[in-house]
Amino acid sequence: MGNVIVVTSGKGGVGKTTSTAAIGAALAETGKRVCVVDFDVGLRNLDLVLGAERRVVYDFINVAQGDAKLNQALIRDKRVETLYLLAASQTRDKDALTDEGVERVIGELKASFDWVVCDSPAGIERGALLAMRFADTAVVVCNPEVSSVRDSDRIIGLLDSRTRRAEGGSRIDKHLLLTRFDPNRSARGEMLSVADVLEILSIPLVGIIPESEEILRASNIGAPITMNAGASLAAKAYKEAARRLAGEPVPLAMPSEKKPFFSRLFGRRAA
Amino acid sequence: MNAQIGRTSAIQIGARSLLAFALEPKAPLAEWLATLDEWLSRSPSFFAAKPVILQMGGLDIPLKEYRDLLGQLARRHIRVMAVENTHRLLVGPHLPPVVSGGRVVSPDKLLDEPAPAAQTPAAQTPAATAPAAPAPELAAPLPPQTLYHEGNLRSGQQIVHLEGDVVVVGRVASGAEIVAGGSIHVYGALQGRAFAGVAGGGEARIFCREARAELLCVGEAFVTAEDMDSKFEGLPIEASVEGGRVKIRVLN
Repeated sequence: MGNVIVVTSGKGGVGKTTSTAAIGAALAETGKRVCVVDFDVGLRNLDLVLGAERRVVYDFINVAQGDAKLNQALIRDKRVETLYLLAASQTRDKDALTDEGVERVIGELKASFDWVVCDSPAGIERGALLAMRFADTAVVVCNPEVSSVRDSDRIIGLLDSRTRRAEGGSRIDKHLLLTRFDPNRSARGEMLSVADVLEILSIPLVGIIPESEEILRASNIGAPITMNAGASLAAKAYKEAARRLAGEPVPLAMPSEKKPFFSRLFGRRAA
Repeated sequence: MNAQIGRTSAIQIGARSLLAFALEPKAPLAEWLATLDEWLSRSPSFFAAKPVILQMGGLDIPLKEYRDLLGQLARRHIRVMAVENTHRLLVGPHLPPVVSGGRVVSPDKLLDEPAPAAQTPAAQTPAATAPAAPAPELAAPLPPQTLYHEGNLRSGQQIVHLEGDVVVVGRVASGAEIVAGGSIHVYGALQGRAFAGVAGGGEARIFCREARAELLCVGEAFVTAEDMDSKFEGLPIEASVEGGRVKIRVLN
């Protein structure tokens, strides 16, 4: 049986879809069968980030409502052959999904994939709750800023109360993925530090993704960052995060600030 | 003498989209049936020979009670042709088939004359939304009607018009969708999905000023953006169906 990961955050724009695509691709590149599922019904984007928007015929809603078979709706990536996408519907809303429909589809996916990575919509409403409901593992995506951290805290509370696992008395595995991190700005106090975020959220850190221009470029091209700029720092960070999720002990290095020469000279005065 | 090997003839499978009444039984069933009877006493043959679908979402009953319900309805001349949202245990070879994806329309679409407002105490039941007067027979198929949409159709918006053609004077954005019983005309860029001819018949076509569609479907044939020849990209085109496949040609 496969493992179901939900990528969630509460807040919008922190990098859930980018992270879903990157982690999904990184896991698939290790040879595991991976399906990324877009739960953002009505505002789908995962198909764009994966470059599959021109191949969508059936979607998640069609499968959940029994209008199409899962095999008809799965879109296989052309670059990594063990990576599949189940797209969301753009013309429907979150009410089109029922608990029973989602449970059945997730059950079918678990039976044929090693990893099912669910891209949650932003917010704490029905769509986000359904995305997390049947998950075994959660990746909480957070930016180093106060509003994102507070929203993540709220989501962690929901992960501990509103998931099937939580209701059954067990716990969902939660991991923190810190995205858009800039060590220099963090050092200057313009961003929260890794320690600040960890202190507030107190869940294990699975990766720190540095702020990177490559990410926007990759999204616009329609390729996960791990494929488009595999050697970039962000891609490496995602690949390592995926390995940690798979249970491999990979040491996590704290990104150090790279001080330019002038700030080293005048750093003392500035402080 | 050798056995003659004949050519196997293909079976023609068509598809239809129809209107049916949807009844939603509510617990307690005895009470619901009593309300139905009261209503039927005024129009005894209302449902006779009409397609009826049971909407079972609000009801969780065992198989035996379900069979009883079907029997009770049959005694009232209500023949259930299919059920929606039913429990998976209530499905079987001798039970009505399960349907999904039904679109809600006003019941008067099924009738010749507009339905007067229901004014019975049973106004809560779905049956009461149908007219209280003795019902006329099912309407004859209406002549095709054209639906005009002025302005752009944005991502996530959808036009469903099974009764005829759809004309959009504007752009159909990526993520928008048009479903038409007849043909589709887009006087602008078609970047979303277009389903023409869903009411059957292979005559329907899709026309657009600028072809950038995610999906073109005519009748039962479709083609995704990926499988379209890129030479049509951005050009005015006509899509029709020929030999079971979508055929695209440039309009110039």
